[in-house]
Amino acid sequence: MTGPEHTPAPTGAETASLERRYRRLLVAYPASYRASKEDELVAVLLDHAQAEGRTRPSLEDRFDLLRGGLRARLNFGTVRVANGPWRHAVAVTTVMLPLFLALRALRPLSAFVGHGFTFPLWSGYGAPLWNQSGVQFDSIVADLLGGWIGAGAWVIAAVFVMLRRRRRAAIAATVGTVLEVAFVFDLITTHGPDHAHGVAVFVVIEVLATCLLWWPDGLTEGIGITGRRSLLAFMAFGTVLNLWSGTWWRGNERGLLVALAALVVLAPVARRNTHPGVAVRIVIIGVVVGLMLVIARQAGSVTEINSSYGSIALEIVLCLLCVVALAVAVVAPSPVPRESSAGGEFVPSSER
Amino acid sequence: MILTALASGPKHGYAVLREVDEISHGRVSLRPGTLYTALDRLCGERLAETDHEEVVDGRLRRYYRITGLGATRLSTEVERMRQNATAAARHLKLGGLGA
Repeated sequence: MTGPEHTPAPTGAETASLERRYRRLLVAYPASYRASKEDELVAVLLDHAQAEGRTRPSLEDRFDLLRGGLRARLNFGTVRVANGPWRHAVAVTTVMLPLFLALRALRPLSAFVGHGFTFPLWSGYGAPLWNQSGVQFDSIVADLLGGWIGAGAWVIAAVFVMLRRRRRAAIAATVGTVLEVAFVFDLITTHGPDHAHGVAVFVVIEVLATCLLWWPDGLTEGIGITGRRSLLAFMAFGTVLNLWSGTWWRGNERGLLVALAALVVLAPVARRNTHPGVAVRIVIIGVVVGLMLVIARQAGSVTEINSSYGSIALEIVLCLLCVVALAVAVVAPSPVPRESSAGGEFVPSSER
Repeated sequence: MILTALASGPKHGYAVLREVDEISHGRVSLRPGTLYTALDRLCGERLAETDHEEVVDGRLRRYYRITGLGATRLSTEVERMRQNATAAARHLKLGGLGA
């Protein structure tokens, strides 16, 4: 950045024109945000432009303001996770959910093993489910986009999680989630809503996992608590369990539920000096996710609206309620935290 | 970086941009939109807060300062980086590559 003393001062008309342009760009921000910050932000933008000798907003500034406005509108960066055990439990969940979803993506492999290596792997990611009910995939969207490519996105996200590449993991997770939505949509329109039971819930879980990965601090803090070795152990254990469940349980969700139990047990004990409150909260989160899976399996059979769009909606609404209940617990209830939290805040072992 | 810039005293937005540029030796060049997204987050987490406002040449300048919590977080980060640097230097020395 060059100092303003090296560039000629723009004329009053040029400055006024530049200010107008910046104010137009700031429309990207919510009105409430502009009411409190617009003049201040314009002043910084004008100082910055003057230092760079510009009389028009640069392309970088335009993109930067559009991105900032979008973030402000979506409340990114302003939703604050409460300090203390909940924050660290959510951070661990940020790490574990993508790994859990990557394990799920390997389910066709377990079915492949379970069927004596004769299962048609190429027939799609969701094939094990439909094979049980005799439904064959014939859609390119389901087989490819929502199938192996969508599953692969979560495996890639898990790899980036292990490498602590949060942004790349978040992008892969976003791709995986979008493809899962396409997959479920295709499934419902092609085979009917009753075939989406047990699958639609993963849209909710994937959205949750993706949102957590876009949280700037979650991944680093989460790995700081669990350590990478325990994550590798979890993945190895989960993969073996997945293949085993394919031979024993024919690749249904029970294997995943056991893997989930391993998740909630392994994470707290990964570090012996992990705060006990974190462990308890991770178990609560694990139970909520497990509950969502059970809801997904039971929603159709326990209601009168089986085989209809209503049961899928019920499934998603119940799962969302679980997520909202969790969010109420983890998002800071007050915009003004106690001053004492600075001294009494739990700090994970990696930061001590 | 922003907390580091604020550690030496309250600064307004453009001063923070310049300070970050200076302490990173030009490697980090924040844009104003990015700066304010980060500042909003820091203020939301009570790591920074508004100090005072003034109008200079008809332009509003709002000054931000680091909070006690922010200083604690920055100190922790400094200590962590110092330990990493020490470990790296020790390993280089063990490998006969360091000074």
